[in-house]
Amino acid sequence: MRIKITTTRIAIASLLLVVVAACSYDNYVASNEVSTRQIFATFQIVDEGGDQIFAEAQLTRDLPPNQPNNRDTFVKLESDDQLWLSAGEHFSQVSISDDLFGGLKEFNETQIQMRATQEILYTFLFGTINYDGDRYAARLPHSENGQYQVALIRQHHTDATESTITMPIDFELSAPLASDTYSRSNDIIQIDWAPVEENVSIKVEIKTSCLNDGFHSYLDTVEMDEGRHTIDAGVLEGEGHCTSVINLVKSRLGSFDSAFTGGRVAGHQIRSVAINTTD
Amino acid sequence: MSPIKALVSTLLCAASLLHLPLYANEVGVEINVGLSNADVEGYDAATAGNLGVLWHHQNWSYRAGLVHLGKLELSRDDSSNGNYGHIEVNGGYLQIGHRFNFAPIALEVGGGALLSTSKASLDGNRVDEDDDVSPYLDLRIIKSLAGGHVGLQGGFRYFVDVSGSDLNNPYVGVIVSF
Repeated sequence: MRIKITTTRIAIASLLLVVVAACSYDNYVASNEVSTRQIFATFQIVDEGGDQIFAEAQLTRDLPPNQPNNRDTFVKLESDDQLWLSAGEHFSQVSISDDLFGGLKEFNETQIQMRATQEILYTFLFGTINYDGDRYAARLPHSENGQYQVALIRQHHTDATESTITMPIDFELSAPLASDTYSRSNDIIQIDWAPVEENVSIKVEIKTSCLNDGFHSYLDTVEMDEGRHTIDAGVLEGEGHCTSVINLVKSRLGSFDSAFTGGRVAGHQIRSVAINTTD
Repeated sequence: MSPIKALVSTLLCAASLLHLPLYANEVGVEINVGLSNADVEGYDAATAGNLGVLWHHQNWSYRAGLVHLGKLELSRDDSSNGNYGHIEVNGGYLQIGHRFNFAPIALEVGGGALLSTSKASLDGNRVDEDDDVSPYLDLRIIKSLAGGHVGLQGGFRYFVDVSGSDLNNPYVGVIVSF
């Protein structure tokens, strides 16, 4: 009897050790322990047509976030390593010595340090950011030329200051109009916008929420920017009276600094309209 | 007249024409504190101060010393980003002034040159710096105390184009003469 109890206790203890070991995996690393060459940089900038743009950044070790079977290791900024969002060049790259006062004032309006954030705003943007991990965000006034730069300034490693993006140009939705009503089973929904633009990818995302039926999602890709996309009758799901929010997303990829091991810099123009839909 | 006397007379005459002092009426130390304001919109005033030596002779004052024109900070109320930017100006100065006596006070008008280093930073990060030679005007009122060995003064300096901005510097201070 005594031998059996001892064996059982050993087995339980071993099982607990295995569980503890598995759960103690650290999914982040301090930035001062990682060289710039080991960092994969994911930056995205979103413009919804308002006065400000919103930027998100995530740094991961070696691999992009959200890779299948990959246990992401997020880089947490420490030891005075900083991420800066700029409308134009970062201040470390220019000289203003002939006009320090005016130049600094101008930089102050076009530069902002990105801070750690818990906000989750654009989950429908194609899974580029892993919202379970460390990430950084900032807002900046809308830039007229649509050019933005993300700079990683480091205390003990190589800076990476030249990740850049030129946003898709501003556009407006002209149809459907807010609060229009459509029958999901009988009506064709035509989405119109202008101006059109080359070299952008376009996606249409529609989230339908119904009083008694929860949420339904629709996602489609527009092959060419011709200013129009049609949703056939019977495509949208839902039951009863629902609200359908249409998000039209124009996206363009930018370039990441060559000091990183890899990166993905994307700019998104998003325009939205909420309509009513019935059976 | 002997050659030596002739030489001394010539030197005296030349020196008086050039206002070169032969005998110091007053040698002293001054310290001033005040404010520094930039003429570029959006900057808050900074605390300023200077420490220097002076030599006063026959109503002319010659001053030299160090000046700290302060950390002029960008007003965060005007900044949509909340960044804290500031410019710190430090330098040395040389100044000549002429004193007009209106007992019991004196008015001194002068001008000089500021040799300064200005450093700009944003959120604690260095942005750029500039070395400058800037002219300035100085106007002050002096009231002597303690038998003339201590003077109280208040004045105003106007620095022209220090690293891209004119700076004005009102101040009050003390002179101690020996």
